Amino acid sequence: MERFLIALDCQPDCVKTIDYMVRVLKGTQDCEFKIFHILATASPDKLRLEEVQRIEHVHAARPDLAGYFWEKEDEKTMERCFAQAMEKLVIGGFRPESVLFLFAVQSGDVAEIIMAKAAELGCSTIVLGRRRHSLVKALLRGSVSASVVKSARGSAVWVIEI
Amino acid sequence: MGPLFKKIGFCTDFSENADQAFIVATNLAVRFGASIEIIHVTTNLALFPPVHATYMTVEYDPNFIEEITQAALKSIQEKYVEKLPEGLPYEVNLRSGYAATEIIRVVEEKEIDLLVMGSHGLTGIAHVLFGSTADRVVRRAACSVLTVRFNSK
Repeated sequence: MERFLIALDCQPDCVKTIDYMVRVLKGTQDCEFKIFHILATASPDKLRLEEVQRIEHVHAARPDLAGYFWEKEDEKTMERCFAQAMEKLVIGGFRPESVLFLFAVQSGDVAEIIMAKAAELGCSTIVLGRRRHSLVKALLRGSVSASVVKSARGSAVWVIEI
Repeated sequence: MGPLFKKIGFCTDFSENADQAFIVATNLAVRFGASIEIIHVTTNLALFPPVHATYMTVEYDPNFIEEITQAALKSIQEKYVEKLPEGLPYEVNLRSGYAATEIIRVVEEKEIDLLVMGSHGLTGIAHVLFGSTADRVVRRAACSVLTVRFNSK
């Protein structure tokens, strides 16, 4: 059984990563997909009270998220993105039971969070989308995919040009 | 919709990790009916004068570059070309210079769709000099890149 962690940034075109993997893996059955997104953190001071309370309820079920808050709009975007990913995988012939959706919050370096999640879930391959940035932008923002490639010792890394 | 991969680039520094990447690249090429572009970049001695010792223990002389080239071609033939499935189209791309820069150049010239390479190749001083090739390529290559982990089993 090959287990893939597919990290999505939930930008409008990020499901192209799913399209690509469906084309690569079409016809194979021994695959599990862990679709993973990292939500940006938000200050609770900037959130409405009921939103803070809702997230605190989430913290009760997910102690690993405790202390971190995020925008509801980001969560909705993530859910839409996950739904699209599921639809594409099912149309591509993969069983819904082979797909698991997970999220974390940006509590540290994004590349490290991705690698830790892949290790925790026993994923043999990490899949990431990559956009072409200008050299200046790339220098300022760094590259999550390059960091993962540089540091991932337990997994293959498939960086897909979006 | 056309085939996903027409040309798959396989980069080698002749490390064990590269050998594993070769198996992956070959399997993908067979599955998708793609051709293989075998890429090896020898160090340009004008860029890294002390590095020749990592390639072969010969005295530096005017024939040294030629000897490196012949040694690399021989290794590519023995380690990879002879192990390719029969009928799989391939080309050998032997370049000289900075590894990441030359690999990216080959990707553009040959219109490679996917690059397969080891994520961790040579060790020691050679790693210090060349080891970050994979992440440099990932940053700049105009195609998708698959880096294969080293499996010591």
